Amino acid sequence: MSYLLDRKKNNQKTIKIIIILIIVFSLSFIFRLDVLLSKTAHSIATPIWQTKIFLGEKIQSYSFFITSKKNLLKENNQLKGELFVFKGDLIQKEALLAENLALKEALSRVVKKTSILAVVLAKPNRSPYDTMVLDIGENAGVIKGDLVEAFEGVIIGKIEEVFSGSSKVRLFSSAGVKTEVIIGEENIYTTATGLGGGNFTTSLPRGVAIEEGDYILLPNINSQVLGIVGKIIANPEDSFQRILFKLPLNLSQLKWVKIIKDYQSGDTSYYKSFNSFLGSEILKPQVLAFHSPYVANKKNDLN
Amino acid sequence: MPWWFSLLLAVILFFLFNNFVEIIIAGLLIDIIYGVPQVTFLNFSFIGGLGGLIIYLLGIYFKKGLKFYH
Repeated sequence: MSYLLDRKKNNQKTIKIIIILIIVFSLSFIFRLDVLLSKTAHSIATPIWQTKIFLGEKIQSYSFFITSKKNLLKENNQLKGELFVFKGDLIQKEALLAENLALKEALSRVVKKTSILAVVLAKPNRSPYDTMVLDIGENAGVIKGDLVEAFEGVIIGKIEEVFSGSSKVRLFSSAGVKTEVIIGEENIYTTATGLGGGNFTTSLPRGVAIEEGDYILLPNINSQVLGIVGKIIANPEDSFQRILFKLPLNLSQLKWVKIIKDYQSGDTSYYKSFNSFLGSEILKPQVLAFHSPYVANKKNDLN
Repeated sequence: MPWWFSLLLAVILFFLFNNFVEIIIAGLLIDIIYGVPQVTFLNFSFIGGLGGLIIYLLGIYFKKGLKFYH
């Protein structure tokens, strides 16, 4: 009998908790309490994340004690080889970039940008939302809407929420996020939808020539890479082909990112007209430069 | 630790403890720390909390139905 009474009391307690939670959910949805709660949670969590990163780096720096000499030598040789290849790519890239900028300057399109380096405190695999947490916020002048760059020319997301000493980034690959992109050699404009985990999808008529390994660019004078085509699904009964692509980098390996703060362009009339044409927010111009090892490898594979 | 590991752990703990309301709180914490308004959920921010609540309610239903649980 007492057992049944206990269970009844337990159930009543549970119902009360659920009702309170539903009220909290509703109020937070109406009054955006999540921002306030996030601010408090981040002020507590940021020092913990920073300590964790610090300790992780310290432990990693002593890991050579338990690694064999043979392995270290092998790894060293492999890295030297990779470095040699990347140096070659970098020289070519710098030459092309200089030429590109000189040409733009000659045509009154001076493009300069300023950016701030930020440490990634929490990576997307930690959260089911495809978001990142960075170690700088209002203290460094970060504002909502600033673009986040992983490597030179690879834009991965936008600042969504800013706190005093941290900020949240919503990745373009977050589920349901739509981004205007350019695909293929024919420069087809289309809208890509995020699938989460650095993946995207888009649809194009079947007649459009797209190949696996093609670059997906953001509509901009300085072509910024958003992804590389991974798979094309085309059924004979469907007039559209589904294109699956992903970011040209591994998000879980990111340690630092750059927050693009400002850009200067000699003539922005192109962007203004393009913005009004699309009727939506469009990305600002940046300086393009490939620096992603993945992109470099992909380029070599394609060649 | 990836998020799915936390979810798996929460489900296991839910069956270990009698009244594991913490699963909802854990969901809410994940929302507060990592979450942003979700486009696919009409810009609702507390998907983790709501998910925790659904798992909690479903869990109670399953617990009642399991012969070997009590």
